[in-house]
Amino acid sequence: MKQGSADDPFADEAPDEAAGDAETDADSGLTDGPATESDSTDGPATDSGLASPETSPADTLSSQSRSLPYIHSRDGVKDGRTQRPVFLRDHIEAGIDDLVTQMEAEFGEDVYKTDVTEAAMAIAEERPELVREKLDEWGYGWS
Amino acid sequence: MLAYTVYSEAGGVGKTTLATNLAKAEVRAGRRVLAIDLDTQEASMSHLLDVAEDRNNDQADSLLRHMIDRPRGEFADLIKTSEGIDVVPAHNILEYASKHLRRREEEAADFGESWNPNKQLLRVLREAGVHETYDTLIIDPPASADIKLHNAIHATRHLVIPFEPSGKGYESVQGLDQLVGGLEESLGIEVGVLAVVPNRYKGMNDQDRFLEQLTADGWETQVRFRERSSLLEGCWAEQCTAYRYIETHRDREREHELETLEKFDALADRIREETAVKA
Repeated sequence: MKQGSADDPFADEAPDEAAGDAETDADSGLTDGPATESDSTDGPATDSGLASPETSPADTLSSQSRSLPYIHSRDGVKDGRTQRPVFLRDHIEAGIDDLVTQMEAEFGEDVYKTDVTEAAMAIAEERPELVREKLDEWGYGWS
Repeated sequence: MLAYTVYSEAGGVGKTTLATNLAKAEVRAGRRVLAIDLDTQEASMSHLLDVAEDRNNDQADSLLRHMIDRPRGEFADLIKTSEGIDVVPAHNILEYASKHLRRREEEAADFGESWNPNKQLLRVLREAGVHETYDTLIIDPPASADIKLHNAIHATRHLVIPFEPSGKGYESVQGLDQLVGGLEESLGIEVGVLAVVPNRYKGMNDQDRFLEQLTADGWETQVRFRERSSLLEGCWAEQCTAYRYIETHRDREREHELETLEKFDALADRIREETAVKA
C-alpha cells in the first residue's frame, strides 16, 4: 500500500473478471483418482507450479492403462485439486473458452473448463520449447 | 466517487467514530454519502447512527444476501438514513459471511462458473449503480482481517487508517502494511492510503517519536485528534455523530470540542484533496 490515490474500482469495466477467479486452477499436488496399489501416480506432483520432478510420458501411459483414466476415477472435477488464483489477460481467458468448445466438438461430450485449463498447463510442462517460443514473442530474451 | 475503508489492525482506536464522523463531514460538505457497516459488534456504526433495528431480524434482507445472489429485495431497500447519511446497516448474518461466500463459491465451481468471494461487495455496489448515486462511499469493516475486510478493500481500493501513537499503534500500521501488501497481490490491485490519523494524541514525547517514525516510513499525518472521551461517550450514549451531540446535547459549547468538529471537517477535506490529485 502507498500514500495517495489508487485506481477507481467503479471506473468503467475494470478488468474485474480477468484475474484470480475460480476456474483458473493451476495444478497442485495432483494424484489421480483414489489411492490404488498402482506403483506410480499420473502427472507430476508439483507444489504449486514449481519445477516438477522428472516423469516420462511412458510412466504416465503405463499407469493409466492399469487403472481407470483420471476423469473416470474421480468423484468430482475438483477432487484432488487445489484452487489457485492465476492472473490472465482477457484474450487468453477467452481463448480457454474457445478451447473448451473445440474439445467438446472433438469428443462429442461435455468437457470441463478446469480439465482443459490443467491439460494446457500439463502440455506446456511437457513441451517447454513451445513455452519458450511464446515467451520469446512476449519479449523475453532481449538482453 | 470517493471511496475508502476505515481500518486499523488494532481495536479500540476509534475506527467507527472516525468513519461515522467523516461520513457526516462529507454530508456537511454537500455530498451524497453512503456508509456501509460490515461490523457485527454491538458497538458498530449501525448502533452509533441508530439504524440497527433489523440486526437480528432473520426475515430482513441483508447485504450478505445480495453478495451471495440471494437477495430478498432491492439494494436501495437495504438503506436507512440517519443525519443525512445513507447507511447499509450491519446484520448478524455477516458473522457467517465467510461460510456463506465460500459455499456459494463452491456451488459456482460445480457449475464451472468463476466466482470470487472477495469481489462480491464491489459487484453488488456496481450493479446497484452506487457510483452514480453517491459522491462518497465509506466502509466500516470489523477489526478482524477476514473476508469482509477483503471485500471492503477490493470495493474501495483506498484506506483511512486511525492510529494511536504508541508502540502497539505503530506496529499495527506496519502490520497493516504487510496485510494489505498480501491482499494487493492476491486480488491484483493497488491500495492507496488517503490518511493515517493519529488519535488520542496528548503531546507526549514518546508519542511524537512514533509520529516521527511514521513520517520517516512515508506516511503523512496531517490531522491529529486528541483524547475526547467525554464527547465520544456522549455520542455512543445518545447514538449520534459528534456534530449532532454538540448541537443537541451540550448545554454550552466547549471550545476544544468545536475544535474536534473542525478537525473532522478538515480531515474530510484533506482526503478529498488527496484523491483529486491523481497519483
